[in-house]
Amino acid sequence: MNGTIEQLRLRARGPNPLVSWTDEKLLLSYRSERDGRVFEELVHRYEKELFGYLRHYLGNAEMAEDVFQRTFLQVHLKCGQFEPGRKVRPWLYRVATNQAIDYQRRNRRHRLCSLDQAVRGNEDDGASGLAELLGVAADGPAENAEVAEQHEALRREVDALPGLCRQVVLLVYFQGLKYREAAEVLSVPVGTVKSRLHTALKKLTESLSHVSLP
Amino acid sequence: MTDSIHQQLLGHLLGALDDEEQAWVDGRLERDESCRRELILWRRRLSPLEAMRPDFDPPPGLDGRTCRMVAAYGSAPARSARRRLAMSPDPTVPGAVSLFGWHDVAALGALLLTAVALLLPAIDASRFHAAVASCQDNLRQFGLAMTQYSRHHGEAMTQLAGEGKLTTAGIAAADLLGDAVASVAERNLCPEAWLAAQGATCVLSSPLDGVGVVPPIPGTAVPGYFFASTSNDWSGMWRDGTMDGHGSRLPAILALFADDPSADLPGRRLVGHDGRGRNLFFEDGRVRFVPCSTHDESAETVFSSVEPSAPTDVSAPIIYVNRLGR
Repeated sequence: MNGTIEQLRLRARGPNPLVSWTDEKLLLSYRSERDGRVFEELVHRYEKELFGYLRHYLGNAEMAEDVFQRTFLQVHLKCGQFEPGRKVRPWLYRVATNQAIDYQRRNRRHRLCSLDQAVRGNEDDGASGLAELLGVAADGPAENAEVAEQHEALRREVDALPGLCRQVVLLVYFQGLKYREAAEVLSVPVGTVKSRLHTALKKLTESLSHVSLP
Repeated sequence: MTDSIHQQLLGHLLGALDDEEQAWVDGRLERDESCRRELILWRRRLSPLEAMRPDFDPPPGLDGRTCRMVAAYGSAPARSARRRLAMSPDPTVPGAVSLFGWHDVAALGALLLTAVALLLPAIDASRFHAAVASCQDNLRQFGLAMTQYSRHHGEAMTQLAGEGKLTTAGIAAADLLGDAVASVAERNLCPEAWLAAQGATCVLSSPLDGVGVVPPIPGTAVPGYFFASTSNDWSGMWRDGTMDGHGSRLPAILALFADDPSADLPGRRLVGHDGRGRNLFFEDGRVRFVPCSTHDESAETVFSSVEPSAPTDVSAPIIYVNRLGR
């Protein structure tokens, strides 16, 4: 409901000239002028992408939302440290990754969430876990359970990867970052990202090759 | 095919390559059949993964909540500016409050000086008492040894020097270097004495074991001990090479002066312990510290001030031993 009202308000304002701005222009403009609308555009642009990344990383929607907000609070506080000429996307992912790591350390929680959580559905997600994971309408309980099991199997395998491999898979495979951007986020050489991703995907495909699809 | 090419093909599939890398892979795919086959293989390998990949939607209104949260937090530059103003020592800046001013430094310095002024006398007093207590322990040790000796030898004390009426009794200590006697017995010092602290080797032997003795040379002022003798009719003091006695038959009086001479106090009777007094040992084992500040004060005066009846008390022999200064 709130989201709908928000969208109505946005439409009432008319076409947004900020839509055509690049991420870098938005951030540099916010750094100098502190215009709230510029910040809103930036948050809106990365809302789904960054939340999805944090959801994958932390395994919990509530934590992902918390870290998402902390990430943009850091963007607000530390935008002065953003150097012109750099790309916003890897910088943003770097902030988000660091915030997620700090969050995990503070809460001393494992990356793996309860195996039951996705199956039973998380009320905090606003929808059942199955529907969210599937993304498509399920035919019946049996098919839903099977898809959920596959998703859970993938999740388990991804979480079982070593730290850097897992991060590379999340950034490049799940979030679609380029090799160079992922290397910047993780502060490792590009070659390391390439080799880690190759190894991780090879391992994942071998591990999950026995799982059948509906 | 090398791992590097595999990695580039994977990057091509995922859209993870830079423009230059993408162009290189495109060229390679055009001319290399094995690369095209490898790409197809990777596509097949990743398709199950693609089907399993979940897609998470953010909760509704997340962007709005985030923006409101950040807006409520306050602007960081304004907070930093306020903090900088508060820290600024410049009085011309309105509202500036200096955290550390000169008056704070002066107050802290006064506090430190006061603490030091209070502590130093306490430290000095504790050092003094510790030295006195240590000296008393030492004094008690060889005082008891002397007492035992005199009881085993008919109330006579160890013979220090001389013969007949000039026999003098007492104890002396030699300055030992290794196993040899190094110097005259002028350093009959409590081991706590300042000379011992400066590295002088000073040993007091039990009279039962024999002592290193240097007989006094008549006519010279030789540092030695005051003593009293019961081996003859005389009891008195050896001073400057002559006998200075009472000329009466008085029992030996045992008292030991553990002398801790200060270098700044010349005189024949040096007042020990930084000029504050001396320890006296009594036969019954008591050791008392007697304050006296006059370095010419005679032993009798000291005794009478401590034990008025001591010189006539025949039941309490006391040996007093003191050091003569030059």
